[in-house]
Amino acid sequence: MKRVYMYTFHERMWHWVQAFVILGLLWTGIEIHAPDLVSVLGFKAAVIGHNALAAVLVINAGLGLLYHVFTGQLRQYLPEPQDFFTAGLKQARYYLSGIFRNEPHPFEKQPERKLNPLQKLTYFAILNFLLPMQVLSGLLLWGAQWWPEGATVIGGLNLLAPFHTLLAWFFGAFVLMHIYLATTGTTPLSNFLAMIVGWEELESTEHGSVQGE
Amino acid sequence: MKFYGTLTVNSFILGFLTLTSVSANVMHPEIALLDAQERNVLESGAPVSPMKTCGFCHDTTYIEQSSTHALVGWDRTSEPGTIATGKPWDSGIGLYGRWDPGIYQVLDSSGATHREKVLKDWAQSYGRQHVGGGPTLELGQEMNCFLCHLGNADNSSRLSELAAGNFAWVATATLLQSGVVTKGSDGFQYARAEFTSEGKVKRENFVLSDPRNTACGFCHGYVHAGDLSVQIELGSGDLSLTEYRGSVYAGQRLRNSALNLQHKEQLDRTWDTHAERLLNCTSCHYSLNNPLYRAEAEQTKPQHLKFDGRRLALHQYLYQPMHRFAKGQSSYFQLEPEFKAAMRRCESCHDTAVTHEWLPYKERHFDRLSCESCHIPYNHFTAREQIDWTAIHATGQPLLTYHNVEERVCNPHTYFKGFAPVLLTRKELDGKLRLAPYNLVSAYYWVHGEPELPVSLEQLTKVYLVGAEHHPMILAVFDRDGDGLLSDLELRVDTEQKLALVKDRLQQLGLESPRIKADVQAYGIHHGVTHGEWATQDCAACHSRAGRLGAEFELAAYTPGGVIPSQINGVNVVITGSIEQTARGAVILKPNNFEATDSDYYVLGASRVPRINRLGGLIVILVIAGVLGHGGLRYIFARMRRERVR
Repeated sequence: MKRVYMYTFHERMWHWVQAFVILGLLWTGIEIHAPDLVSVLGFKAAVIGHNALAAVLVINAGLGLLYHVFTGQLRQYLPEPQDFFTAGLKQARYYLSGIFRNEPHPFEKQPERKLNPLQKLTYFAILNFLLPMQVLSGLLLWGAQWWPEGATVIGGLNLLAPFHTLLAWFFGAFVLMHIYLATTGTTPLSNFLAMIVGWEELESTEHGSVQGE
Repeated sequence: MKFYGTLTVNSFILGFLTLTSVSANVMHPEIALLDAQERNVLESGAPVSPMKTCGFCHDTTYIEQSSTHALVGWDRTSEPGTIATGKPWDSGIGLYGRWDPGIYQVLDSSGATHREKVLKDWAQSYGRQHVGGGPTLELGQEMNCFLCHLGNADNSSRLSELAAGNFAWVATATLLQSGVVTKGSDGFQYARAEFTSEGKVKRENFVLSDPRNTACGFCHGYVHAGDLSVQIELGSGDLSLTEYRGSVYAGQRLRNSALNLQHKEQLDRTWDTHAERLLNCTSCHYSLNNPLYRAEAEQTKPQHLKFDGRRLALHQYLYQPMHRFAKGQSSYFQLEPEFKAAMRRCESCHDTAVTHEWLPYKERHFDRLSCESCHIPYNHFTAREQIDWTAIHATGQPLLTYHNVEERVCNPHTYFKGFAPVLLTRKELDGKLRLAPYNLVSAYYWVHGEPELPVSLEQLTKVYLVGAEHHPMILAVFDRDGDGLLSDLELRVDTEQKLALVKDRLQQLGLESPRIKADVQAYGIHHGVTHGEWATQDCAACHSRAGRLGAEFELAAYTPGGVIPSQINGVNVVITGSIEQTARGAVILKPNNFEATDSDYYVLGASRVPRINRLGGLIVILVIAGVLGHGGLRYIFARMRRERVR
């Protein structure tokens, strides 16, 4: 086993802020969407909380983008053509059968290459579509009182709000999958620990490279 | 110092209002009462002519011709069946010509030979809420200035003369309380002692001024004055705003009233905040050319002007005060639609930004909600729910049901639980859709023939009564407990036997295919305003499926003949939802204010698209299933491996 410094302080900070903010947004979102079913904070507090967390999300996402651009880490999130086909299929085969046979992960995890092909595809979709659309739809909903035309151009609130809700469901599904897939590291908790302390225990290969997620 | 300065100013204003409202109006000169020939009534002994008396200084011809209250649609009638928003038998859209199920009389405008009878019937039924003039001029009843402008106008005596058919003396009867005239066995006598040596009425008991709230209350609804506790008698239909909307214009606290209200000891709010703050009816419903209140419509106002100083001088206004009053956008009253929304709304007096600092998304709320939605959240009294003319009492009156009142409303200890108005969407003249509170009143009545006409009161009386009692055939079928009297419950046409009997008796009168019809009318509620903790401040009141937007509203406590109303009438009301019958036989409206009425309508927390939630929920469930399955398999295989190693 080799101990590798996998996640920088900023990456960890950005990740956990994003995680708690998204969880908070989901919770307050449920309270706003169905207050007759879930009402812990109360509707008004939920709306205020949702708006505040959304602002934090946008700022954090913006800072994260700047960090990844200026450090060059952004390329880790850019899928390559083979990620869509051979590499992606290889990873998928691992999840569907190899993992049960305790096979090694098909792709080495390195500080310069932290994401497997499927992760790259997923994050690419989230960071380039899901998140921006959710932010935009949320902004238009929030801004409808000062700029109602913005919502009208898109199709009106009764199109915008359900769209925002649908994307929230997708985020909810992603969060569940993400937390579960984080248990597929060297040990079930190794990925969680790495995202807290930054260091990760990885298994050394014959060639000296490390494997694991 | 600032506090005391404010106190001084407020004291002055209150004092001024008190002075002008209650004491003798020293501004109005003493007047001579003239008859129709312009003779002093002291000499002629004839009925007072308000047109001639007041016409000495005011342009009464103009006043009458500009008065919606006098003309009441009489100048805008047409053939029955041609009124787009009316019943097939309506010949107008105002008090004259439009059928009111509460009053029930049908204006039979067919043929000139009926004219006088038609006018007389109208004057003695609908005309109880009419100021005179207009259609009643032919009967000798002039527009009665005293009814509104005399401080101690005697409305009871006015109604008595009306009922007796003494139309020429109706205006004079209005003066009875002032003492300038008395009525004895030989008719009306003018009291010379109440006149000056010049033949003018002494000012002390004859106070002329702008209309007082109590005068408006004679016809429109209960208006409280004086120190006595509020005590309201329902059932006559004269107090239309109170009967149909539950509106009570009183500055008294509810707990100080003489009514048996639920939770009365906790009701330390007033009946109406504006009444409490000494606003007159004319403060909002002002004369359209009143130079003080008048504001030009946005469409015609010169855009570069914030204020237009060109307006009538006071003397010009006093000479020709237009008696067309500012009104809102009623769902019921349709007369003179060109003058709708002339009234200043709440926001023209109230700075909502200052008073609603606690409210998030203020502009959005004001855009979609009328002020009344939150400021008239509950009526602690009652209003009519159902008018049932399918049967009548021995007095000839219909069965009346009031919201959440189980006893007869005329009992002194009747318990009032109150009711929550239903929120419906109102389409306003500027195109905006706003939620507003309404009362919905159902009316059940018999119709016959084709084109259909309501069975007249005369015909109903023949079916149900003989003399002042119920007909023996009616008693035989309706009188369940055999006591010889018919209670409200017994009078309900709620069995096939009762229905068949009444139908048969109507057919015997020659009426073709008599059947029961049911209508529901929406009445907007704009009085009974409250504020502070009594106004809605809980987001969950609307932002929840369990809130007011979907709250059921009872339309009828029972269904005579099993008939369920199929639609709700209201000229600018958008009705969404469904009309259903409950297990106990009542008819309810289940409003669906969650669904979009336009592309901009979405109520967070209440509106939902079920398909989206189903799809999203399915995705999450599939993910959870996948996680549990995949994780479970990993666990099982890991255990197998450990056991193999062992």
